[in-house]
Amino acid sequence: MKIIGHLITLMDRLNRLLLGLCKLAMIVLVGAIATDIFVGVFSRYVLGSALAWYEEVAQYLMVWMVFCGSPLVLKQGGQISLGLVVDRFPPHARMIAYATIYAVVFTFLCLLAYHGSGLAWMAQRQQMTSLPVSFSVIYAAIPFGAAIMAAVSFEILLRALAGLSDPENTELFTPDPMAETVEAGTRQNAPDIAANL
Amino acid sequence: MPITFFWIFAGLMLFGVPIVFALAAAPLAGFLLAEKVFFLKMVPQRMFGGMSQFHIIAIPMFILAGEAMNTGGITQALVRFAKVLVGHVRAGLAQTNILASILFSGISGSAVADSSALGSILIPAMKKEGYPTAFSAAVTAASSVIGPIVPPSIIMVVYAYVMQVSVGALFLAGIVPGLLLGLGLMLMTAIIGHRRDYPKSDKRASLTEMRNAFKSAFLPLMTPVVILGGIVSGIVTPTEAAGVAVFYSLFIGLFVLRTISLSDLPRIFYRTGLMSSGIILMIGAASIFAWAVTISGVPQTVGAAMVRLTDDPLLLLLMVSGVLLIVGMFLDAIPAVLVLGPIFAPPVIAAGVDPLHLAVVMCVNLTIGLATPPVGMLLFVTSTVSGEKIEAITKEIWPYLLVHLGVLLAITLFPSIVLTIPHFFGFR
Repeated sequence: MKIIGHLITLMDRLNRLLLGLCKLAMIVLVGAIATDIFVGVFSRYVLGSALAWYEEVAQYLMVWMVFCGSPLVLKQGGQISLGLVVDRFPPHARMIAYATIYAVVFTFLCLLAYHGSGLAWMAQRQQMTSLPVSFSVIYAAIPFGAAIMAAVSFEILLRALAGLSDPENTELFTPDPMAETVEAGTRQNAPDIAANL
Repeated sequence: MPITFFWIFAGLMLFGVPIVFALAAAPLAGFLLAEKVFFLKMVPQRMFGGMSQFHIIAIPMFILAGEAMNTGGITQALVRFAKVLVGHVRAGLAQTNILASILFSGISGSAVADSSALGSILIPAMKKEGYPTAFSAAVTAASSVIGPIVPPSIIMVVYAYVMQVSVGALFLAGIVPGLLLGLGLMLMTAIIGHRRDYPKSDKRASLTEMRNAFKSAFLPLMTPVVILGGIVSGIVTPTEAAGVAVFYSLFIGLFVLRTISLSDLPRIFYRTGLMSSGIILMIGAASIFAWAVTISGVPQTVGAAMVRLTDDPLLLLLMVSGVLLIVGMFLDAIPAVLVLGPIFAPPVIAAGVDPLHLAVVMCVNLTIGLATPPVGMLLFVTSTVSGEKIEAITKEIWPYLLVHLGVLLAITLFPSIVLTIPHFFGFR
C-alpha cells in the first residue's frame, strides 16, 4: 500500500507539470484559432484576397488544441460518463469498478499513443498542402495527448486503488477553480442582480 | 466483421467508462477479437480524419462567442430585458426565465451553458420571491432545451457534419420549433402559476425602463441575425460566421460595453478549450466507431429490419423517434447523434422522409433527452446550481416534459412547421 502512496505522489507531480503545459498551450491555441479565422475572414471579405493557408492552419491548430485540452478534461473528471450503475455500488465495490474502468482507459490510451507515434513517424515526408510543414508535426498531437492522458488515467487508477484501503480518501478527480471562474463572476454578484431585478 | 464491438461498447458505457473512451476502445477490441490487428494501425488516422475538419471549428467558435457574451454581463442584460417584458404577469419570474432562455438561445448553442448561466442568476432570484427551489430549477432546465434548437446550435453543427446536411438550412429549420417550445412552456407556466398562485411583480415596467433594458440588450440580440444573415445569404461558411460572432461578441464586450477586460481573455479561452475538447474528442472517437459500424454492415441490417416492420415514412419516423427518446434518457445528445444518426437515418430517408425534417426531429428529440430523468445533463446542472436534489426537480419537470413531447409530436406530424422557413430561403 505504501508503494501506491509513493507512486501517487510521483504521478501527481509529473501530471501537474504536464497539465500545466497543456493548459498554457490550450489557452494560446484557442486564441490562435480565433485569430486565424478572423484574419482569414478579414482577408477574404475586406481585403478581397483569400489566404490559401488559413483553413488548413485552423484545422490543425484545433487538433492540437483538442489533444492539449483532453488531458485537462480527464483530470477534472469532465468526460461524460454514465454513472447510473457504478454510483449505486457500495463504496468498496465502487473503487474496484473505477480502478477497472481506468485500467481499460489506460490500456486504450497506451495503444493510441503507440500507434499514433507510428503514424507521426511515417508521415515525415508528407507536407501540408498550403505550407511547408511536415505532417509529423501535426500527427504528433495524437501521441502527445494520448500519452499525457495515459499518465493521468494511471494516476486516477492509483487513486482508486488507494481509496480501497482508505475510505476517507476517495476523491479521484481534481476540479480546476479556473474552469468555474467565468460563471462565478456572475455568481458572485448574483444576489445583487437578483435584488435589482 | 461481427457486431460484437457494439455490445462491448454498450457494456463499457453501462459500466461507467467515459463515453468517449468506450466509443474508441470498443472497435479496437472488436478488431482484436476478429483478428484484424492491421486495423489497429489505422485507428489514429481515422480519429484524426474525423476531427480535422473545417466545419467542426464552428463548435469552439460558437462556444467562445457564448462565453465572451456571458462574461461580459450580457446574460444579466438579457434577463433584465425579459423581466421588463413579462415580469408583471402571474409567475412573472418563471416567465422571465423562459423568455430569457429564448433570447439567450440566439447567442448560445448549448443547453448546458444556457442552464448554468441563466440558472445562476434566476434560481436565486426566484427563490427570493418565494418560488419553491425545485420548481425554479425545473423551469430553468426545461427552458434550456430551447438553446440548441434556436440557432446557433452545436448539436446541429455536429449533425450537419455527420449526416452531410446544410448547417444553414438546419439552423433556419430550428427557429419555429424553438419558438413553439418557448410558447408551450410559457402557457404551461401560466397554468401552473395560476393554480399555485405564484407571485407577480406589483407594477409594470415603465417605458423608460423598457427603453433602457432594450438598449443594453440590443447588440447581443443582434448576434443570431449576424450569424444567420451571413450563412443564409451565402456570403460566409458557418465556421466563418461563427468566427464573426466571436469577433462581434469580443468587440462588444471589450470596446462597446467595456464589461470584459483583456485579463479575462485567458479564462474565457480556457473554458472554451475545455468544453470544445470534450466535444471534439468525442467526434474523433465516434469516427472510429462509425468506421467499425460501416465495416460490420450494421446500418444495412438495422435498415432491413426496420423496413420489414413498416415502409410507411411517418411510422418509421415515429418509430425512430420513440427509440431515440428512450436512448436520450440515458445518453447525452452529441454521442447519440454520432452513434445513431448514421444507423437510423438512411432507411428513414430512403422511405421518403425529408432529410432536413428528420434532422430537426432527431436534434429536438435528443435535446429533450437532456432534461429527462434518470440521466439528464440539465437536471444535473440545475441541481448543482440550485442545491436541490435531482429527484425533487424531476417531480416538478413532468408538466414541462409533456410540453416538449407535444412539440416533438407536432413537428414530427407536420413537416411544414420545420421546412417552411428553410424552403423560403431556397434550401431544398
